Amino acid sequence: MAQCHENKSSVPMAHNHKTILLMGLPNVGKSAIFSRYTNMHVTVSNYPGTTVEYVNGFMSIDEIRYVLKDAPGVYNIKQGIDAAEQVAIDMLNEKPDAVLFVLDALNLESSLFLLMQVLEYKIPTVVALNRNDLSQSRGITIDERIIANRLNVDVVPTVALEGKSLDALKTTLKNRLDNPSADFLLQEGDEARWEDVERIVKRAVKRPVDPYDPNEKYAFLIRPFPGLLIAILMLGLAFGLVIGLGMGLRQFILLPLLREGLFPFIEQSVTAFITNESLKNVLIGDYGFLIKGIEWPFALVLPYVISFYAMLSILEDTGYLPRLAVLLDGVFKKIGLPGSSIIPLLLGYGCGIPAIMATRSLPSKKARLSLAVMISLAVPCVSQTGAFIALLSERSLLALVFVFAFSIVTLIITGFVMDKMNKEKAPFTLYELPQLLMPKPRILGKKIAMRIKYYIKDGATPMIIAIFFTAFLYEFGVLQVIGEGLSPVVSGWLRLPEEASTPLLLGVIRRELAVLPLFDMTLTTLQFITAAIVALLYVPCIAMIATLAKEFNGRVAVGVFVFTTVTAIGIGGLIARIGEWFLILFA
Amino acid sequence: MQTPNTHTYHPTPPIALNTLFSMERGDEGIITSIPDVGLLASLGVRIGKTVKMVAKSLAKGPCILHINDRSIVIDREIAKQIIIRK
Repeated sequence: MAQCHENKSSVPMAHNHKTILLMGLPNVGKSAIFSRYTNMHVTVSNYPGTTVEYVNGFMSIDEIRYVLKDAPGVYNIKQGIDAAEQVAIDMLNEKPDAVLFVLDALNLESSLFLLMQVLEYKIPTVVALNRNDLSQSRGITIDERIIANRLNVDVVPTVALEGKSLDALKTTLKNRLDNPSADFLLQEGDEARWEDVERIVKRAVKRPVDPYDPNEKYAFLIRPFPGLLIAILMLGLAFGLVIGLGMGLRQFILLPLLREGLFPFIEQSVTAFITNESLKNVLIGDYGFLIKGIEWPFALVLPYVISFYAMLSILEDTGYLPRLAVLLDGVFKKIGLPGSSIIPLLLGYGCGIPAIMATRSLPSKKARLSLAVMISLAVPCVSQTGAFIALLSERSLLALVFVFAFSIVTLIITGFVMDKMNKEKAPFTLYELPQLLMPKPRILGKKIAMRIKYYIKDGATPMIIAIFFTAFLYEFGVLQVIGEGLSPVVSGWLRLPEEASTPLLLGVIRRELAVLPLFDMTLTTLQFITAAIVALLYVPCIAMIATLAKEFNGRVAVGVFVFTTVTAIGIGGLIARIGEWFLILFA
Repeated sequence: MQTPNTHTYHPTPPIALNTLFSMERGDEGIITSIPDVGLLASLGVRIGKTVKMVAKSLAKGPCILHINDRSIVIDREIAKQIIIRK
């Protein structure tokens, strides 16, 4: 066929293409190989469970196209206990034309055991012995020929992150696809296989008497002392850098660029060419979409998107996050959650959607639901954080600190309440710590760029559309009518001006839009705090409600919607009143 | 027959002494028995393996072991069921 339909995000299952299934343990570089071969950017991180659902892509070998499928990493495909394993088993049962198995040089025993389980399916298989550089840096050498002979498979040593030997791997793959054979040498039974694995490893691996071991060297990071102290310092430093870097980008680069360069130009052009007052207001008025539609997404939010994801990506790629999970495991157990919950929580400070998807790697349903509710209610996404900083930092730094402290306290209380509602204990903690790695700048840059692109596509674009419609509704008086209707809640209960109903309406669409319209209002500090807390606890955003419906069910989505709205309004009113008492007491 | 004096009588030390969990940081031991938890074998926790205790967390946190160049985080409830000899 001369033409192939290309689809950016997922490739339709074309039956005229042969399929290759990518398999291996968690965190061995399957996604790195996938990205290299398909030129599709999938998230690569230094911790297990980054790939939670499988991705398809096209790869070409000598002008021939194949479908490459990236399976989630598993340790075992016999038990089928978790979702990832079931996905992997299903993918093998679909009978791909070949399996590209990624063997972990740092973890040869378990890799080989899984390989044997995969070979049982009698599918032509090529093996990449990956992360060869890491084992060599420890002084360990592996003779891949011994593995190849003992199992009768093709083995190619690779370093996927650097793209080393990936061409040789392609050639081997091509040969195997052209001459499919699957006569593997396998033992029967788990016992016999583990013995076989140990014999192979003993012959294939040459190791120094005392190999260099970075995990041992940095073990202090996971001991309560000084580990916890370092964790607090690290997170504090990361938080400070995110805020500082973001503010700097905004203050010194993006705002001047817009306010002194682009906006005067836009205003002059609009005034020169458009005489209709209404249209002019829609374009450059209070909600003027050419002004706010550019300033909000790109000058107020984008700087924090950049600084946050730069920091998070570094933390991810070093392998520090699973170590943080170890340190916090005991604390999280108190609310029935595993320590690894810290990863979706941190992701939630970027965007709630990937955070809720990341809860898939947690081993219990209860933990997933608890975390989803905690994130929906109390974790501001990076857009909203940017909006909070823009709104409060110049008015009252204390108010800003209060809002963030309030978010953390609410997070903890929500955790306890969710635990009370479902007493199921946290599942056993049992996982492998990835090796600490120096992040590679090229990969880091790609990852940050990918996340900024995701923000522009799925964050900034809906924000601009929402601002466009708001400008219309505002100009034609619809917002004002709604404001009067909501007045008992907004003015009566929350003690805010009527116009503050606009952010409440917009906040349903996007989290930061519950904050940004407050900008040009004249409010007291207490009113700013009230409005900020309402915005924090309020409905996360439409896209997140849709994600909840997809990942759980409609009931959870509606439940979160109602619960967050009621909590936000309820607590907001209380803060308005308690705040007033304080002012009377201390003023 | 004389009953043992309750003040000085010490029963055989509880099995807890020989579990993985009873190991101090830096201790090494050889695994002699593991509970039936599927993932253990794949993580390298198998009978006959030498393990080293690298860290023990606070509160009800896990232990971190060293087995075959790998660092395994293991729940203390599971660690209490793994028997080792020094």
